[in-house]
Amino acid sequence: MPSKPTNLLQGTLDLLILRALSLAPLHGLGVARRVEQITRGTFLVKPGSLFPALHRMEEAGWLKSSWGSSDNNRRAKYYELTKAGRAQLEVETAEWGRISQAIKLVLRAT
Amino acid sequence: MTGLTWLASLWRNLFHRTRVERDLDDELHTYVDQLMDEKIRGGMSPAEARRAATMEAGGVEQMKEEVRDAMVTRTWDLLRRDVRHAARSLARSPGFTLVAVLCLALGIGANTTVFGVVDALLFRPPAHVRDPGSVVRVYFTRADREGGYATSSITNYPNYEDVAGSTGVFAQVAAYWPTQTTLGRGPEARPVQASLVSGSFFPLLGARPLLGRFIGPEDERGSAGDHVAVLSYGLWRRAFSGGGSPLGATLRIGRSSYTVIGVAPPGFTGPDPAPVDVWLPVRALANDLMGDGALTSRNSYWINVLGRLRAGVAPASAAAAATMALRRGNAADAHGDTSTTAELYPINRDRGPKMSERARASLWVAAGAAAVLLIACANLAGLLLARNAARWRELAVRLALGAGRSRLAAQLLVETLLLSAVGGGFGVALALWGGGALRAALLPDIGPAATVLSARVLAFTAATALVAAGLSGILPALTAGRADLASSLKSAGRSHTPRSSRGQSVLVVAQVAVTLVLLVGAELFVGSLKNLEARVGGLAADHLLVVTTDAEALGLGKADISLLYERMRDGLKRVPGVEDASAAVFMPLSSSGACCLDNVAGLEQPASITSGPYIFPVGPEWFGTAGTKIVEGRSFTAADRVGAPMVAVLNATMARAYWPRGGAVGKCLNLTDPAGGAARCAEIVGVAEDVVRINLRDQRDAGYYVPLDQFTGSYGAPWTPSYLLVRATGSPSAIVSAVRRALGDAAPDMPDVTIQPLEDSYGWLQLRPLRLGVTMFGAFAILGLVLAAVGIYGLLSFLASRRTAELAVRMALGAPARRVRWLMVRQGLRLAVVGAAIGVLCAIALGRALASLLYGISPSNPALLALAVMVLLGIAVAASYVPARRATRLDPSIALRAE
Repeated sequence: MPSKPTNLLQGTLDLLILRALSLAPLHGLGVARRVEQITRGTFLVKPGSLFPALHRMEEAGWLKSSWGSSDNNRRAKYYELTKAGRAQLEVETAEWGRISQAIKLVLRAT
Repeated sequence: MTGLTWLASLWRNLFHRTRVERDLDDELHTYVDQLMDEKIRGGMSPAEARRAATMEAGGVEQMKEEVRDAMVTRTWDLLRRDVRHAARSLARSPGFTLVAVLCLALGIGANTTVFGVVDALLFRPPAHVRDPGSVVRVYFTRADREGGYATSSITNYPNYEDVAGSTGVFAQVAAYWPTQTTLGRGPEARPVQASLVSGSFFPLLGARPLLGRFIGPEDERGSAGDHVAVLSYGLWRRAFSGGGSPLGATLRIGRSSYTVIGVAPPGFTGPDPAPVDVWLPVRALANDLMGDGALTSRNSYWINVLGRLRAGVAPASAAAAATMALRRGNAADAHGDTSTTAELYPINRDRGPKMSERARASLWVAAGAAAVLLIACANLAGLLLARNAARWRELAVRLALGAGRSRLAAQLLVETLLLSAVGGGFGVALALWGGGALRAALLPDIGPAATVLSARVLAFTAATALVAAGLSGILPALTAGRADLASSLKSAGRSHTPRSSRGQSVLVVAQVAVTLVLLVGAELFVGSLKNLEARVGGLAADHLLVVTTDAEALGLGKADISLLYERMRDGLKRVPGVEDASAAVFMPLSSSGACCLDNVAGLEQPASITSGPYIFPVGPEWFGTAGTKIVEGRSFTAADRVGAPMVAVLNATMARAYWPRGGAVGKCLNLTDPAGGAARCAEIVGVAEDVVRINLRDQRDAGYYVPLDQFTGSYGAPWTPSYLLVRATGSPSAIVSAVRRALGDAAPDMPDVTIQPLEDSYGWLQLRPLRLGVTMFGAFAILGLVLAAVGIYGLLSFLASRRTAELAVRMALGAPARRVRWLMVRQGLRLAVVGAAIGVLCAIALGRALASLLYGISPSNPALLALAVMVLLGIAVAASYVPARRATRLDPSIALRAE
C-alpha cells in the first residue's frame, strides 16, 4: 500500500480528527467545522485532505462509519472513534506533548 | 493497521467495488450539499451558494481520486493496470507468447502429472480413513536364514493376536490380507480382488458404509466366523446392474457362499491404494486359503497388521510394547521366534522401512519433471531477455518518461506471471489428458482415486506456476531496469550489442547440461529394463496366460485330478487362438516354488549356489508352451508316465553348478521318497535354458523339472497342480474370456479360477518401476532436447539479427558463406560443449544415487555418455545451423542499407 511519509502536518491532522471525534460522532463537514472551532480558526481543513485522511483512518481501524441523517435531513456518513482509535488518540497526544515540549525547549534556548 | 481490517477493506474494495464507489460519491456530494446549506443559512442565494460550495470543495472527482490514492486498493488498481498492459503487450507478439506458454505448459504439465503419482504413493492418506495420522502399519524384523535380519510387513495370525493384546498403546489393532479370488462359478465366473479382514478392520479405519453395515467383531464369533461380505461401490454397481439392493443377497466367492451385509463408499480401498472388490472376514476363509492351522500356526507368515495408536502414545513406546507382546507370545510356542521386533510405519504402504521401488522410481521421475521445468524456465528466461533487448527502446522511453525502475520490473514480472498462469492452465489440461492414461498404463494398481484432479494437485500446480514465473522472470525483470538511458536512446537500436547476451549464454549452457542429465537418465532406464527383461529367460512372456486353479477344493484323488487337468487342457486347446497349454505345480514369476536339497540324496551343494535346487513338476507340454529351449538331451514326452523309468530335466544353472565339467545328461538324480522309501534314481534326460524363478534381480537359481505324472510329492503332502500355462498365438489378453468359458465347461465345479497374462504376474510387476522410468525419462529427455534446441536456436537467431551488419561486411569483403556460417555455428556448438561437459559430470554423480534401481548398467559407462553427448551436440549444430544459414542468405547490400 503506498503511503506518503508521515510528516508533522499529516500527524497533526490525524490528531486533530481523532480529538474532534472523541466527543461525539460527526460527518465530514462536522469534523472540519469542529476542528476550526477547537483551534479557533487556526486550522482550516480542506476536503482534499480531510476525506483521504478519514478513509485511511477507517481502514486502519481507528474509525468506523455509519450512515445517518444530518440537521438538514440529508443522508450523511458519520464517523466515530473505535477502541483502537481511542488508544491511538492517547498515543498521538503523548507524542504531540513530547514534540511541543521539545520545540518549546528549542525556542527558549535561543 | 491490523491485518484483519486490512483484509476486510481489501475484500470490500475488491468484491463490493461498486458499493464502495457509490458510498464515496454519496458522501462527497452530501459534503458539498451541506456546505451549500451553510452558505444559504449565511444569506447567499441558492445559485450563489452552489457555486461557492463547489469552488470551495474543489471538484468531487478530484476528491475521489485523492481518497482512492490513500487506500489499499491502490495496489490492486495498479496490478490490474499492469495485467491489462501485459496482456496487450503479449498479444502484440503472438509468436513469443505461444512459445513461452508452450514451454511453461510442458514444464508445469509434467510436474502436475508426476505429482499426482507421488502424492498418491507417499503423501495422500487412503480415502475415508479417519485421522490417518494415528494409524500405523506394523512391520516385523526377524532373523533370516543367512544369519542377518529381514523386515517384512507380513506375519503369522497368532502374532497379530499378540499385538492386538497390547491394548495399553493401541486403541485398536486389525489384520488384513489382500488376495485374488473368483466371483461365481463356471463360465460366468469373474476374478475379484478380495481383502480378508479381521472384525476390527473397519472400526479401526473409521469409514462409514454406504449401505448396510461393515464387517465387525460380531462376525468373528463362533469357531469359523460368519460368511458375510462387504462389496466395493464398483462391484455393487457392476454385479447388481447399477442400483438393486445387494443386502441379503448370496454370492459365491471362491470356495463358499457369502451373504452381502454392506457396501463401502466410492473410492474406499482400505489402507492400500490398490482397488479392492470385496471384503470378507479373515476367520471364515483363512483355513480354506492358507491351509489348516492358518489361524494357529506361528510358522505361516501371511497377514498384515495395522494399529491405531491411543491418543498421546508415542510410536516408539507402542513399538516397544508390541515387541514385548510378540516375544512373549512366541516364547510360549516351540517354533516361535523370540528375536522378532515390531516396527511402526505410516499408513502409506510405500513409506515402509524400505521405500518401495515404484515410490523411489516415481521420486526420480519427479526429479526429472523438475529438471524439465528448470529447462523450460531457463528457456523462457532466455526468450524474455531477448525480448527485453529487442524492446530496449520502448523500455528506455518509458524510463525517460518517468516510470520508476521498480514499477518497470514489476510490470515485466506481471507479464511473466500472466504467461505462467496461462501455461499452468494448459499444463493442467495436459496432465488431465496424458496423466490419467499414463498412470493407468504404468501404475494400474494405484486405483482410480489417484487419477482425479484433486485440490492438492491444483494447489501444487499453482505453486509450480508461481515458482516457474519467479525463476524465469526475475533475471529479465532486474536487468531491464539497468539501462543507460542516454546511450540506449542515442544508439537507436543500431548495432547495439546488448549486455544480456552473456546471461542468455549461461541459460543455454544450463539447459544443455540438464538435458544431458535427462538423456543419460533415459539411457540408464532403457538399458536396465532391457537387461532385466533378458533375465526372464526362456519364457515367451508376451504370449503367455497364467491360469490359477483351486483343484484341491474339489477333494479329488490324484488320478482324478490328473484326468480333470487333462480335460481342461483339451478344452483349452480347442479355443481359437490357443497354441498349447500345460499344467504345473509352480509358476515362474508367480509362485516362489519349493526347494531344497532335502529331496535330492547324495549331492553336495556347490559353493556357487546359495539357494535351491528348486523342484518344478510340469506336464510334458511345458517346455513347448513356455518357450523354454532344451539345450541338451531331450524334453519330457507322454511316455514319461507313472510306471515308466523316472526322469528329470535340469536347468542350465544346476547343470553347470553340479556338473561343472559337463556330462549331466545320463547321470542320476536321487530323489527321496516322501513316503519314506529309499531314494530313487531319476535319470537326467536333458538340460533346459534358465528361467527366472520369482525375483528378477535375484541370482539365478538351480532347479530341475520332473514329469507331473511321476511326481509323488514332497514334504509329506502330495502336491496337486494348481496352475495352467496357456500359450496364445497372438495377444494373451484377447483370449481371456474364451479361456474362461472353456475352463468353465471343462471343470464347472472349480471354485476359484483366475486368469491373467504372465506380464501381470508378481515377478513381472518388478519391471513396472523401470517402465515408468523409461517412459517418463524418455519423454522428458525428448522435451529437454526440443526445449534446448529452441533455446539455442533462439539465442543464435537473436545474435545473428544483432550482427547482421557485421556479417554483411564480412561477406561483402569476400568471406565465403561457409565460413560465416561456421562462425555462427561455432558459437552455438561452444555453448553446447560447455553444457555437455557440465552435464556429464552431473549425470555421473546423480547416476550413482540412482544405482539401486538400475540393473547391469553403470552411469559412468563411456559408450552411454558418448551417445548422449553426440545426440545433444548434433541437435545443437542443427539448431545453430538454421539461423546461421538465414543470416548468410541475406544480400549484403540490402542488409547494410537496412541499417
